[in-house]
Amino acid sequence: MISAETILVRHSEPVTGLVDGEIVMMSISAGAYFGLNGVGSEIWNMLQEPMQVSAICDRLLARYEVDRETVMREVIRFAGEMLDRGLLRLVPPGELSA
Amino acid sequence: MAHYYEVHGLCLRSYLVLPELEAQRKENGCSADLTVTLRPDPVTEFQGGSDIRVESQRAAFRIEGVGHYDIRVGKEIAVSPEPGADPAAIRLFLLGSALGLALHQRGSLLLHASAVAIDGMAIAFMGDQGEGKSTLAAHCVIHEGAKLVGDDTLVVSFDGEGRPWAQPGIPVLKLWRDALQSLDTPTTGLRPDWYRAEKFHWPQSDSFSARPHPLREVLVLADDRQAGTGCISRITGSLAAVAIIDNTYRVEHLDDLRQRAIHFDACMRLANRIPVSRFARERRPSNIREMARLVVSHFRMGHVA
Repeated sequence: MISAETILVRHSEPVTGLVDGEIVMMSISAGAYFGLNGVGSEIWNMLQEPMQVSAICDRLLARYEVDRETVMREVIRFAGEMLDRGLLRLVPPGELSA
Repeated sequence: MAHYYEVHGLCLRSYLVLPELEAQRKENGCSADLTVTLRPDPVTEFQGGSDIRVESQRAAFRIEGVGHYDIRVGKEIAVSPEPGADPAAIRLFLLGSALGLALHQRGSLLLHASAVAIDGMAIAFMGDQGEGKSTLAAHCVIHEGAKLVGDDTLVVSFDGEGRPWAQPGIPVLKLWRDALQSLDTPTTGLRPDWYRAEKFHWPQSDSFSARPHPLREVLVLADDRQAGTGCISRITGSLAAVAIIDNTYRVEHLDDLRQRAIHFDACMRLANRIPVSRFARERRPSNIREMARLVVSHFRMGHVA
């Protein structure tokens, strides 16, 4: 279950390409290709380092005219998909402070 | 004796005569990229019937009643016909699946697309099987004065400046009976397709352009009842790139990681270089001529010299 406190980070580094600022990924393990939309690409770029969902939302809120509830919903949906694909992983809070 | 042909940007040296292609003279400077040999010995691979195996830099398949094809490092196709096989069927799978696998091994970008040239520049039509790529290409050729560059499969290559080029394919249009009827072309004398008796192979000569053309746009054909004779809208970003990836000829046959990385890179380059658009239209035979007119005027408007 993903919440505002959840910490995310990239789990693997797929082969990526860039078209009009949007990221396209080739997942080596799954043999699948998929594209991220503009916001998805931004989130992916943030997650080189572990980051809390609420912090991701803060950054997006600073850039887009949108309410917090919508952003949270979108980030959680995106994170869920990327976790399923093995491209992101959850970071236990202890790991981050260590 | 070896015969020389040019297709998909390759020079083919073939020990099988290929009347579907225009023969080249060896002294024209065509040095063979790919050799087609006949292997008369019986092949025991795939005893069970039609089957395929794709490995790194080696692929093989058997079509029961036709023959066995062995494709290596993008440089050699060995054909072993089965006794009594129809020569035209042997060539069909050679110029189709076998050549496609060889092109993948070579790292060529091979799209599931038909293409025509208008004013010396090419536009490609991508779409699923049965989406109407060939029919649209045929109407552009017959009614709009376009030249056929390729039907069903299209190699896109890149020059030193990264510009994409549409390489000429096989000068044949594969059309359903009703599509031929809409072009007032009788099916008499045309070869029916191996798998689909109502689809015919219509050879093109004067309407075919045997030279590469700069590729300027890709249209993804989509059936849409609300769209009438057609609506062309731009696809951008990752959606454009994924559309190209999805419309690669047998993308599942890109076997090893090296091939897949090369292919991915080529798709990104193409998506970054030329517009990809969605052509939504209601597919009705009565609409096709109007669609061809729309596509050609759209293309000309976007590329005024």
